[in-house]
Amino acid sequence: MKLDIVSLPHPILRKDGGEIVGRFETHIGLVIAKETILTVSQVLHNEAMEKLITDGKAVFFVDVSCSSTMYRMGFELPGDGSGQIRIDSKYLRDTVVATCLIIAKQDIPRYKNAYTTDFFDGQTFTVHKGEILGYSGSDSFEVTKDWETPGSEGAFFMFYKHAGKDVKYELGSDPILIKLPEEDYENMKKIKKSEDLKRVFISLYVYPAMLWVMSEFLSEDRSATHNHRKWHKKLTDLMKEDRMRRIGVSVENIPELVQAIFDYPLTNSLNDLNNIVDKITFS
Amino acid sequence: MPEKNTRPIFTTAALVRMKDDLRTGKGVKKYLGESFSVEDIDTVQSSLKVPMSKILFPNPPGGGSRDSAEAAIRLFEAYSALSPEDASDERFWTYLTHVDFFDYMKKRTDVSAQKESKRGKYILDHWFVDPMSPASLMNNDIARLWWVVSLTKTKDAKDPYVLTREVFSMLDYTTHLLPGAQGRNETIRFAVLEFVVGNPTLFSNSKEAKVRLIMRRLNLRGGYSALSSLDSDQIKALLEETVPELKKTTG
Repeated sequence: MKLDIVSLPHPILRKDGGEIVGRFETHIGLVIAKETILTVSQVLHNEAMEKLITDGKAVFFVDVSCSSTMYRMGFELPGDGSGQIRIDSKYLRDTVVATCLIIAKQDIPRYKNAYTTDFFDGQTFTVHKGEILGYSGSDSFEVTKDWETPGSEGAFFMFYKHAGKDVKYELGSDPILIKLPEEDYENMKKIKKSEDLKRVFISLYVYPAMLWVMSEFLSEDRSATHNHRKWHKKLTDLMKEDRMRRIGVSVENIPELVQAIFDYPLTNSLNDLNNIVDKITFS
Repeated sequence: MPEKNTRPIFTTAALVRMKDDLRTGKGVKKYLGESFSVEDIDTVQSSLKVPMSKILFPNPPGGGSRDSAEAAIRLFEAYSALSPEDASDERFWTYLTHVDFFDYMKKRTDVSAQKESKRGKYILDHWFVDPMSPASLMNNDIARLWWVVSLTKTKDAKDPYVLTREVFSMLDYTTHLLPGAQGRNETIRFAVLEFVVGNPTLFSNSKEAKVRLIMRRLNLRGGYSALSSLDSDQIKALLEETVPELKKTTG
Protein backbone atom coordinates (compact mmCIF):
# COMPACT_ATOMS: atom_id res chain seq x y z
CA MET A 1 0.00 0.00 0.00
CA LYS A 2 1.19 3.48 -0.75
CA LEU A 3 1.32 5.93 2.13
CA ASP A 4 0.04 9.35 1.14
CA ILE A 5 2.21 11.61 3.31
CA VAL A 6 0.31 14.74 2.25
CA SER A 7 -3.06 13.32 3.34
CA LEU A 8 -1.96 12.16 6.80
CA PRO A 9 -4.37 13.73 9.30
CA HIS A 10 -1.84 13.46 12.17
CA PRO A 11 1.90 12.82 12.62
CA ILE A 12 3.01 9.20 12.43
CA LEU A 13 5.97 7.41 14.00
CA ARG A 14 8.55 6.30 11.44
CA LYS A 15 11.80 4.33 11.35
CA ASP A 16 13.84 7.32 12.45
CA GLY A 17 10.89 8.82 14.35
CA GLY A 18 10.16 11.62 11.93
CA GLU A 19 7.85 14.16 13.60
CA ILE A 20 7.46 11.92 16.64
CA VAL A 21 10.18 11.19 19.20
CA GLY A 22 11.14 7.54 19.12
CA ARG A 23 11.77 4.72 16.70
CA PHE A 24 9.78 2.04 14.90
CA GLU A 25 11.52 -0.66 12.92
CA THR A 26 10.36 -4.00 11.56
CA HIS A 27 12.58 -6.91 10.62
CA ILE A 28 11.26 -9.57 8.29
CA GLY A 29 12.94 -12.91 7.82
CA LEU A 30 11.96 -15.22 5.00
CA VAL A 31 11.50 -18.90 5.75
CA ILE A 32 10.49 -21.18 2.91
CA ALA A 33 8.55 -24.32 3.66
CA LYS A 34 5.33 -25.54 2.04
CA GLU A 35 4.06 -22.00 2.37
CA THR A 36 5.84 -18.68 2.14
CA ILE A 37 6.52 -17.74 5.74
CA LEU A 38 7.42 -14.23 6.86
CA THR A 39 8.95 -14.15 10.33
CA VAL A 40 8.38 -10.68 11.77
CA SER A 41 9.93 -8.91 14.73
CA GLN A 42 9.55 -5.28 15.82
CA VAL A 43 11.62 -2.60 17.49
CA LEU A 44 9.48 0.10 19.07
CA HIS A 45 10.69 2.98 21.22
CA ASN A 46 7.80 5.33 21.98
CA GLU A 47 6.00 5.38 25.30
CA ALA A 48 2.62 6.58 24.04
CA MET A 49 2.52 4.00 21.25
CA GLU A 50 3.61 1.19 23.57
CA LYS A 51 0.79 2.10 25.96
CA LEU A 52 -1.79 2.15 23.18
CA ILE A 53 -0.69 -1.33 22.13
CA THR A 54 -0.68 -2.67 25.70
CA ASP A 55 -4.17 -1.22 26.24
CA GLY A 56 -5.44 -2.91 23.09
CA LYS A 57 -6.15 0.37 21.28
CA ALA A 58 -3.44 -0.07 18.65
CA VAL A 59 -1.76 -3.07 17.07
CA PHE A 60 1.16 -4.03 14.83
CA PHE A 61 -0.08 -4.76 11.32
CA VAL A 62 1.45 -6.04 8.07
CA ASP A 63 -0.23 -5.47 4.72
CA VAL A 64 0.98 -8.02 2.13
CA SER A 65 0.29 -7.33 -1.51
CA CYS A 66 1.13 -9.06 -4.78
CA SER A 67 -0.06 -7.13 -7.83
CA SER A 68 0.72 -9.96 -10.27
CA THR A 69 -1.83 -12.26 -8.63
CA MET A 70 -4.20 -9.48 -7.47
CA TYR A 71 -3.62 -10.55 -3.88
CA ARG A 72 -3.78 -8.33 -0.80
CA MET A 73 -4.28 -9.31 2.82
CA GLY A 74 -3.74 -7.63 6.14
CA PHE A 75 -2.30 -9.43 9.17
CA GLU A 76 -2.54 -8.24 12.77
CA LEU A 77 0.41 -9.18 14.98
CA PRO A 78 -0.75 -8.87 18.59
CA GLY A 79 1.40 -8.26 21.64
CA ASP A 80 4.99 -7.27 20.81
CA GLY A 81 4.31 -7.65 17.09
CA SER A 82 6.51 -10.66 16.56
CA GLY A 83 5.08 -13.64 14.80
CA GLN A 84 4.80 -15.57 11.58
CA ILE A 85 2.69 -14.80 8.53
CA ARG A 86 1.99 -17.82 6.39
CA ILE A 87 0.74 -17.49 2.83
CA ASP A 88 -0.04 -20.32 0.43
CA SER A 89 2.47 -19.92 -2.40
CA LYS A 90 -0.27 -20.26 -5.02
CA TYR A 91 -1.27 -16.66 -4.23
CA LEU A 92 2.16 -15.19 -4.95
CA ARG A 93 4.18 -14.47 -8.07
CA ASP A 94 6.96 -11.95 -8.90
CA THR A 95 7.07 -8.91 -6.58
CA VAL A 96 5.47 -9.27 -3.14
CA VAL A 97 5.39 -6.18 -0.92
CA ALA A 98 4.98 -6.24 2.85
CA THR A 99 4.11 -2.86 4.42
CA CYS A 100 4.68 -2.67 8.17
CA LEU A 101 2.46 -0.46 10.31
CA ILE A 102 1.02 0.32 13.68
CA ILE A 103 -2.71 1.02 13.30
CA ALA A 104 -5.58 2.08 15.54
CA LYS A 105 -7.72 -0.88 16.61
CA GLN A 106 -10.51 1.42 17.67
CA ASP A 107 -11.35 5.11 17.51
CA ILE A 108 -8.90 7.05 19.70
CA PRO A 109 -10.13 10.51 20.71
CA ARG A 110 -7.58 13.09 21.89
CA TYR A 111 -4.49 11.16 20.69
CA LYS A 112 -1.19 12.89 21.36
CA ASN A 113 2.45 11.94 21.44
CA ALA A 114 5.91 13.42 22.05
CA TYR A 115 6.86 15.40 18.97
CA THR A 116 10.20 16.48 17.55
CA THR A 117 8.75 19.86 16.64
CA ASP A 118 6.81 22.34 18.79
CA PHE A 119 4.38 22.82 15.91
CA PHE A 120 2.08 20.18 17.43
CA ASP A 121 2.39 21.37 21.04
CA GLY A 122 -0.95 21.23 22.85
CA GLN A 123 -2.69 19.58 19.88
CA THR A 124 -4.65 16.37 20.10
CA PHE A 125 -6.05 14.35 17.24
CA THR A 126 -9.06 12.14 16.71
CA VAL A 127 -7.83 8.91 15.24
CA HIS A 128 -10.30 6.53 13.65
CA LYS A 129 -10.14 2.75 13.60
CA GLY A 130 -7.74 1.51 10.92
CA GLU A 131 -5.79 4.78 10.66
CA ILE A 132 -2.03 4.55 10.57
CA LEU A 133 -0.12 5.57 13.69
CA GLY A 134 3.28 4.18 12.76
CA TYR A 135 5.02 3.21 9.51
CA SER A 136 8.34 1.36 9.53
CA GLY A 137 8.53 0.94 5.77
CA SER A 138 7.87 -1.58 3.01
CA ASP A 139 9.91 -4.69 2.36
CA SER A 140 9.68 -6.65 -0.84
CA PHE A 141 10.79 -9.99 -2.20
CA GLU A 142 10.52 -11.73 -5.54
CA VAL A 143 8.82 -15.02 -6.19
CA THR A 144 10.12 -16.07 -9.56
CA LYS A 145 8.31 -18.53 -11.74
CA ASP A 146 9.94 -18.20 -15.12
CA TRP A 147 9.70 -21.83 -16.11
CA GLU A 148 8.07 -25.02 -15.12
CA THR A 149 8.27 -28.67 -16.00
CA PRO A 150 5.49 -31.22 -16.15
CA GLY A 151 4.66 -32.59 -12.74
CA SER A 152 6.22 -29.72 -10.83
CA GLU A 153 4.60 -26.72 -9.25
CA GLY A 154 5.80 -23.49 -7.73
CA ALA A 155 8.82 -21.27 -8.21
CA PHE A 156 12.35 -22.61 -8.57
CA PHE A 157 14.17 -19.59 -7.16
CA MET A 158 13.19 -16.78 -4.85
CA PHE A 159 15.12 -13.53 -4.58
CA TYR A 160 15.82 -11.81 -1.31
CA LYS A 161 18.06 -9.02 -0.14
CA HIS A 162 20.64 -9.05 2.61
CA ALA A 163 23.08 -6.65 4.23
CA GLY A 164 26.21 -8.38 2.86
CA LYS A 165 28.20 -7.51 -0.26
CA ASP A 166 28.15 -10.91 -1.95
CA VAL A 167 25.51 -13.07 -3.60
CA LYS A 168 24.51 -16.10 -1.58
CA TYR A 169 22.59 -19.20 -2.61
CA GLU A 170 20.68 -21.27 -0.08
CA LEU A 171 19.87 -24.76 -1.25
CA GLY A 172 18.32 -25.72 2.02
CA SER A 173 14.95 -24.23 1.21
CA ASP A 174 12.17 -24.50 -1.32
CA PRO A 175 12.43 -22.50 -3.51
CA ILE A 176 16.19 -21.94 -3.51
CA LEU A 177 17.01 -18.52 -2.09
CA ILE A 178 19.22 -16.16 -4.07
CA LYS A 179 20.27 -13.45 -1.63
CA LEU A 180 21.52 -10.23 -3.17
CA PRO A 181 23.12 -7.12 -1.67
CA GLU A 182 20.45 -4.44 -1.25
CA GLU A 183 21.46 -2.24 -4.18
CA ASP A 184 21.73 -5.22 -6.52
CA TYR A 185 18.32 -6.40 -5.36
CA GLU A 186 16.71 -3.09 -6.31
CA ASN A 187 18.48 -3.13 -9.71
CA MET A 188 17.48 -6.74 -10.26
CA LYS A 189 13.80 -5.88 -9.74
CA LYS A 190 13.94 -3.33 -12.57
CA ILE A 191 15.92 -5.52 -14.94
CA LYS A 192 13.68 -8.52 -14.33
CA LYS A 193 10.58 -6.69 -15.49
CA SER A 194 12.06 -5.40 -18.72
CA GLU A 195 11.18 -7.53 -21.74
CA ASP A 196 14.33 -6.33 -23.52
CA LEU A 197 16.51 -7.55 -20.66
CA LYS A 198 14.72 -10.74 -19.67
CA ARG A 199 17.42 -13.06 -20.97
CA VAL A 200 20.13 -10.79 -19.60
CA PHE A 201 18.44 -11.13 -16.21
CA ILE A 202 18.44 -14.92 -16.48
CA SER A 203 22.10 -14.91 -17.57
CA LEU A 204 23.23 -12.63 -14.74
CA TYR A 205 21.18 -13.90 -11.82
CA VAL A 206 19.61 -17.25 -12.51
CA TYR A 207 22.14 -19.04 -14.73
CA PRO A 208 25.09 -18.85 -12.25
CA ALA A 209 22.82 -20.02 -9.44
CA MET A 210 21.64 -22.94 -11.51
CA LEU A 211 25.20 -23.98 -12.40
CA TRP A 212 25.93 -24.48 -8.73
CA VAL A 213 22.55 -26.16 -8.10
CA MET A 214 23.25 -28.63 -10.89
CA SER A 215 26.73 -29.39 -9.57
CA GLU A 216 25.17 -30.24 -6.20
CA PHE A 217 22.43 -32.23 -7.88
CA LEU A 218 24.88 -34.33 -9.87
CA SER A 219 27.39 -34.75 -7.04
CA GLU A 220 27.53 -38.37 -5.90
CA ASP A 221 28.40 -37.30 -2.35
CA ARG A 222 26.04 -34.42 -1.81
CA SER A 223 22.96 -34.99 -3.97
CA ALA A 224 21.26 -37.34 -1.48
CA THR A 225 21.24 -34.67 1.23
CA HIS A 226 18.90 -32.60 -0.92
CA ASN A 227 16.68 -35.29 -2.40
CA HIS A 228 13.69 -34.38 -0.23
CA ARG A 229 13.67 -30.85 -1.70
CA LYS A 230 11.18 -29.87 -4.39
CA TRP A 231 13.94 -28.40 -6.53
CA HIS A 232 15.71 -31.75 -6.45
CA LYS A 233 12.55 -33.56 -7.56
CA LYS A 234 12.00 -30.99 -10.31
CA LEU A 235 15.50 -31.48 -11.63
CA THR A 236 15.05 -35.25 -11.48
CA ASP A 237 11.96 -34.93 -13.71
CA LEU A 238 13.66 -32.46 -16.00
CA MET A 239 16.72 -34.64 -16.59
CA LYS A 240 14.44 -37.38 -17.89
CA GLU A 241 13.36 -35.23 -20.83
CA ASP A 242 14.64 -36.28 -24.27
CA ARG A 243 16.41 -32.98 -24.92
CA MET A 244 18.44 -33.36 -21.71
CA ARG A 245 19.29 -36.98 -22.42
CA ARG A 246 20.49 -35.99 -25.89
CA ILE A 247 22.95 -33.55 -24.28
CA GLY A 248 23.98 -36.16 -21.72
CA VAL A 249 23.22 -35.80 -18.01
CA SER A 250 26.72 -35.63 -16.51
CA VAL A 251 28.94 -33.18 -14.65
CA GLU A 252 30.96 -32.25 -17.74
CA ASN A 253 27.76 -31.19 -19.55
CA ILE A 254 26.42 -28.95 -16.75
CA PRO A 255 26.90 -25.66 -18.68
CA GLU A 256 24.97 -26.94 -21.70
CA LEU A 257 22.27 -28.59 -19.56
CA VAL A 258 21.64 -25.34 -17.70
CA GLN A 259 21.61 -23.30 -20.89
CA ALA A 260 19.04 -25.71 -22.36
CA ILE A 261 16.85 -25.38 -19.24
CA PHE A 262 16.60 -21.63 -19.81
CA ASP A 263 16.43 -21.73 -23.61
CA TYR A 264 20.02 -20.57 -24.20
CA PRO A 265 19.96 -17.19 -22.46
CA LEU A 266 23.68 -16.42 -22.85
CA THR A 267 23.80 -16.26 -26.65
CA ASN A 268 20.40 -14.57 -26.79
CA SER A 269 21.47 -12.00 -24.18
CA LEU A 270 24.22 -10.77 -26.44
CA ASN A 271 21.60 -10.26 -29.18
CA ASP A 272 19.40 -8.39 -26.73
CA LEU A 273 22.25 -6.16 -25.55
CA ASN A 274 23.25 -5.55 -29.15
CA ASN A 275 19.71 -4.45 -29.97
CA ILE A 276 19.71 -2.05 -27.04
CA VAL A 277 23.07 -0.58 -28.14
CA ASP A 278 21.69 -0.15 -31.67
CA LYS A 279 18.61 1.63 -30.31
CA ILE A 280 20.80 4.02 -28.31
CA THR A 281 23.23 4.58 -31.20
CA PHE A 282 20.55 5.32 -33.76
CA SER A 283 18.12 7.28 -31.59
CA MET B 1 5.25 -36.77 -26.92
CA PRO B 2 3.52 -34.52 -24.37
CA GLU B 3 3.49 -35.80 -20.83
CA LYS B 4 0.13 -36.98 -19.51
CA ASN B 5 -1.97 -34.23 -17.94
CA THR B 6 -0.04 -31.41 -19.56
CA ARG B 7 -0.96 -28.88 -22.19
CA PRO B 8 1.09 -26.55 -24.39
CA ILE B 9 1.77 -22.92 -23.63
CA PHE B 10 4.12 -20.49 -25.37
CA THR B 11 7.77 -20.30 -24.36
CA THR B 12 9.07 -16.99 -23.05
CA ALA B 13 11.37 -16.75 -26.07
CA ALA B 14 8.42 -17.13 -28.44
CA LEU B 15 6.54 -14.35 -26.66
CA VAL B 16 9.50 -11.99 -26.88
CA ARG B 17 9.79 -12.63 -30.62
CA MET B 18 6.03 -12.29 -31.26
CA LYS B 19 5.88 -9.00 -29.36
CA ASP B 20 8.94 -7.65 -31.18
CA ASP B 21 7.32 -8.53 -34.52
CA LEU B 22 4.14 -6.67 -33.58
CA ARG B 23 6.01 -3.59 -32.37
CA THR B 24 7.75 -3.39 -35.76
CA GLY B 25 4.50 -4.10 -37.64
CA LYS B 26 5.83 -7.35 -39.10
CA GLY B 27 3.51 -9.75 -37.30
CA VAL B 28 0.10 -8.15 -37.84
CA LYS B 29 -0.80 -10.13 -40.98
CA LYS B 30 -0.98 -13.39 -38.98
CA TYR B 31 -3.96 -12.04 -37.04
CA LEU B 32 -6.04 -11.39 -40.13
CA GLY B 33 -6.18 -15.03 -41.31
CA GLU B 34 -8.50 -17.86 -40.37
CA SER B 35 -6.13 -19.42 -37.85
CA PHE B 36 -2.81 -18.75 -36.13
CA SER B 37 -0.08 -21.29 -36.86
CA VAL B 38 2.19 -22.23 -33.97
CA GLU B 39 5.49 -24.11 -34.27
CA ASP B 40 6.23 -26.85 -31.74
CA ILE B 41 9.53 -25.19 -30.92
CA ASP B 42 7.59 -22.17 -29.64
CA THR B 43 5.71 -24.17 -27.04
CA VAL B 44 6.49 -25.95 -23.82
CA GLN B 45 4.36 -28.48 -22.00
CA SER B 46 2.79 -27.12 -18.85
CA SER B 47 1.21 -28.89 -15.91
CA LEU B 48 -1.60 -26.32 -15.69
CA LYS B 49 -4.83 -28.11 -14.86
CA VAL B 50 -7.10 -26.85 -17.61
CA PRO B 51 -9.01 -28.80 -20.24
CA MET B 52 -7.76 -28.97 -23.80
CA SER B 53 -11.27 -29.32 -25.20
CA LYS B 54 -12.88 -26.24 -26.73
CA ILE B 55 -15.26 -24.19 -24.65
CA LEU B 56 -18.02 -22.69 -26.76
CA PHE B 57 -19.07 -19.19 -25.89
CA PRO B 58 -22.62 -18.15 -26.68
CA ASN B 59 -22.67 -15.38 -29.33
CA PRO B 60 -19.26 -13.73 -28.90
CA PRO B 61 -19.80 -9.96 -28.62
CA GLY B 62 -18.28 -7.82 -31.34
CA GLY B 63 -15.50 -5.31 -30.81
CA GLY B 64 -16.46 -2.52 -28.44
CA SER B 65 -19.31 -4.44 -26.82
CA ARG B 66 -19.33 -5.50 -23.20
CA ASP B 67 -18.21 -9.00 -22.28
CA SER B 68 -20.80 -11.63 -21.63
CA ALA B 69 -20.95 -12.58 -17.96
CA GLU B 70 -22.27 -15.98 -18.94
CA ALA B 71 -19.27 -16.64 -21.21
CA ALA B 72 -16.95 -15.65 -18.39
CA ILE B 73 -18.69 -17.95 -15.93
CA ARG B 74 -18.53 -20.82 -18.42
CA LEU B 75 -14.79 -20.29 -18.91
CA PHE B 76 -14.12 -19.96 -15.19
CA GLU B 77 -16.01 -23.11 -14.31
CA ALA B 78 -14.08 -25.06 -16.93
CA TYR B 79 -10.78 -23.61 -15.66
CA SER B 80 -11.66 -23.45 -11.97
CA ALA B 81 -8.62 -25.58 -11.02
CA LEU B 82 -6.25 -22.73 -11.98
CA SER B 83 -4.44 -21.09 -9.07
CA PRO B 84 -3.88 -17.30 -9.05
CA GLU B 85 -0.16 -17.98 -9.53
CA ASP B 86 -0.80 -19.97 -12.70
CA ALA B 87 -3.50 -17.58 -13.90
CA SER B 88 -1.00 -14.72 -13.91
CA ASP B 89 1.23 -16.53 -16.43
CA GLU B 90 1.39 -14.50 -19.68
CA ARG B 91 2.49 -17.56 -21.65
CA PHE B 92 -0.71 -19.39 -20.80
CA TRP B 93 -3.16 -16.62 -21.66
CA THR B 94 -1.32 -15.70 -24.84
CA TYR B 95 -1.53 -19.29 -26.00
CA LEU B 96 -5.25 -19.34 -25.28
CA THR B 97 -5.95 -16.14 -27.21
CA HIS B 98 -3.91 -17.35 -30.20
CA VAL B 99 -4.95 -20.99 -30.36
CA ASP B 100 -7.82 -22.20 -28.14
CA PHE B 101 -9.89 -19.03 -28.59
CA PHE B 102 -8.62 -17.63 -31.89
CA ASP B 103 -12.11 -17.50 -33.46
CA TYR B 104 -13.55 -15.74 -30.42
CA MET B 105 -10.68 -13.26 -30.36
CA LYS B 106 -11.03 -12.48 -34.06
CA LYS B 107 -14.66 -11.52 -33.62
CA ARG B 108 -14.16 -9.86 -30.25
CA THR B 109 -11.23 -7.64 -31.20
CA ASP B 110 -11.68 -7.19 -34.99
CA VAL B 111 -8.10 -6.20 -35.76
CA SER B 112 -8.91 -5.26 -39.35
CA ALA B 113 -11.22 -2.48 -38.10
CA GLN B 114 -8.30 -0.75 -36.38
CA LYS B 115 -6.16 1.93 -38.06
CA GLU B 116 -3.26 0.13 -39.71
CA SER B 117 -0.58 2.02 -37.76
CA LYS B 118 -2.25 1.12 -34.46
CA ARG B 119 -2.93 -2.58 -35.10
CA GLY B 120 0.30 -3.83 -33.54
CA LYS B 121 -0.31 -2.05 -30.24
CA TYR B 122 -3.97 -3.03 -30.26
CA ILE B 123 -3.06 -6.71 -30.60
CA LEU B 124 -0.44 -6.40 -27.86
CA ASP B 125 -3.04 -4.89 -25.52
CA HIS B 126 -5.79 -7.43 -26.13
CA TRP B 127 -4.08 -10.69 -27.14
CA PHE B 128 -1.07 -10.59 -24.82
CA VAL B 129 -0.38 -9.90 -21.16
CA ASP B 130 2.24 -7.32 -20.17
CA PRO B 131 4.11 -8.71 -17.13
CA MET B 132 5.19 -5.16 -16.18
CA SER B 133 1.56 -4.17 -15.77
CA PRO B 134 -0.63 -6.58 -13.82
CA ALA B 135 -3.66 -4.53 -14.86
CA SER B 136 -3.06 -5.95 -18.33
CA LEU B 137 -4.73 -9.17 -17.12
CA MET B 138 -7.87 -7.04 -17.36
CA ASN B 139 -7.00 -5.93 -20.91
CA ASN B 140 -6.40 -9.41 -22.30
CA ASP B 141 -9.82 -10.44 -23.62
CA ILE B 142 -9.68 -14.01 -22.33
CA ALA B 143 -7.74 -13.51 -19.09
CA ARG B 144 -10.21 -10.82 -18.08
CA LEU B 145 -13.11 -13.27 -18.24
CA TRP B 146 -11.42 -15.72 -15.84
CA TRP B 147 -10.04 -13.11 -13.47
CA VAL B 148 -13.28 -11.16 -13.06
CA VAL B 149 -15.12 -14.31 -12.04
CA SER B 150 -12.28 -15.47 -9.80
CA LEU B 151 -12.23 -12.11 -8.00
CA THR B 152 -15.99 -11.73 -7.63
CA LYS B 153 -17.41 -15.21 -7.05
CA THR B 154 -18.99 -15.40 -3.58
CA LYS B 155 -19.98 -18.26 -1.34
CA ASP B 156 -23.69 -17.50 -1.78
CA ALA B 157 -25.34 -20.85 -2.37
CA LYS B 158 -28.29 -19.34 -4.31
CA ASP B 159 -26.27 -17.28 -6.77
CA PRO B 160 -22.52 -16.96 -6.33
CA TYR B 161 -22.20 -14.77 -9.43
CA VAL B 162 -24.29 -11.72 -8.47
CA LEU B 163 -21.22 -9.55 -8.10
CA THR B 164 -19.71 -11.01 -11.28
CA ARG B 165 -22.70 -9.83 -13.29
CA GLU B 166 -22.43 -6.41 -11.66
CA VAL B 167 -18.80 -6.09 -12.79
CA PHE B 168 -19.68 -7.03 -16.36
CA SER B 169 -22.44 -4.39 -16.38
CA MET B 170 -19.90 -1.56 -16.48
CA LEU B 171 -16.39 -1.16 -17.90
CA ASP B 172 -15.20 1.01 -15.00
CA TYR B 173 -14.91 -1.91 -12.62
CA THR B 174 -12.23 -3.64 -14.69
CA THR B 175 -10.23 -0.44 -15.09
CA HIS B 176 -10.61 1.24 -11.70
CA LEU B 177 -11.68 -1.28 -9.05
CA LEU B 178 -10.31 -4.75 -9.75
CA PRO B 179 -6.71 -4.00 -10.79
CA GLY B 180 -6.25 -1.22 -8.21
CA ALA B 181 -4.65 -1.43 -4.78
CA GLN B 182 -7.96 -1.36 -2.93
CA GLY B 183 -9.69 -3.81 -5.24
CA ARG B 184 -6.95 -6.37 -4.65
CA ASN B 185 -8.32 -6.96 -1.17
CA GLU B 186 -11.38 -9.21 -1.23
CA THR B 187 -13.20 -7.55 1.68
CA ILE B 188 -12.89 -4.10 0.12
CA ARG B 189 -13.77 -5.34 -3.36
CA PHE B 190 -16.89 -7.18 -2.21
CA ALA B 191 -17.98 -4.29 0.02
CA VAL B 192 -17.86 -1.84 -2.91
CA LEU B 193 -19.78 -4.13 -5.24
CA GLU B 194 -22.33 -5.08 -2.59
CA PHE B 195 -22.82 -1.40 -1.78
CA VAL B 196 -23.63 -0.64 -5.42
CA VAL B 197 -25.85 -3.71 -5.87
CA GLY B 198 -27.61 -2.99 -2.57
CA ASN B 199 -28.49 0.60 -3.54
CA PRO B 200 -30.14 0.24 -6.96
CA THR B 201 -32.11 3.50 -6.71
CA LEU B 202 -29.04 5.52 -5.79
CA PHE B 203 -27.06 4.08 -8.71
CA SER B 204 -29.93 4.10 -11.21
CA ASN B 205 -28.47 7.20 -12.87
CA SER B 206 -24.93 8.54 -13.45
CA LYS B 207 -23.64 5.18 -12.28
CA GLU B 208 -20.18 5.49 -13.81
CA ALA B 209 -19.55 8.88 -12.23
CA LYS B 210 -20.82 7.66 -8.85
CA VAL B 211 -18.71 4.50 -8.84
CA ARG B 212 -15.65 6.59 -9.75
CA LEU B 213 -16.46 8.94 -6.91
CA ILE B 214 -16.65 6.22 -4.27
CA MET B 215 -13.38 4.72 -5.58
CA ARG B 216 -11.69 8.12 -5.32
CA ARG B 217 -12.89 8.53 -1.75
CA LEU B 218 -11.74 5.04 -0.87
CA ASN B 219 -8.32 5.60 -2.44
CA LEU B 220 -7.95 8.87 -0.54
CA ARG B 221 -8.82 7.13 2.71
CA GLY B 222 -6.45 4.30 1.85
CA GLY B 223 -3.56 6.78 1.79
CA TYR B 224 -3.65 7.13 5.59
CA SER B 225 -5.65 4.11 6.74
CA ALA B 226 -4.99 0.40 6.49
CA LEU B 227 -8.28 -0.40 4.77
CA SER B 228 -7.28 -4.06 4.70
CA SER B 229 -7.73 -4.06 8.50
CA LEU B 230 -11.43 -3.16 8.27
CA ASP B 231 -14.30 -5.60 7.91
CA SER B 232 -17.07 -5.38 5.33
CA ASP B 233 -19.47 -3.39 7.52
CA GLN B 234 -16.77 -0.86 8.34
CA ILE B 235 -15.89 -0.38 4.67
CA LYS B 236 -19.58 0.04 3.82
CA ALA B 237 -19.90 2.59 6.62
CA LEU B 238 -17.16 4.62 4.89
CA LEU B 239 -19.06 4.32 1.62
CA GLU B 240 -22.29 5.43 3.32
CA GLU B 241 -20.55 8.70 4.17
CA THR B 242 -20.42 9.47 0.45
CA VAL B 243 -24.21 9.16 -0.05
CA PRO B 244 -25.00 12.90 0.25
CA GLU B 245 -22.38 13.62 -2.39
CA LEU B 246 -23.54 10.74 -4.57
CA LYS B 247 -27.08 12.10 -4.58
CA LYS B 248 -25.79 15.36 -6.07
CA THR B 249 -23.60 13.64 -8.66
CA THR B 250 -24.50 13.79 -12.33
CA GLY B 251 -22.50 13.00 -15.46
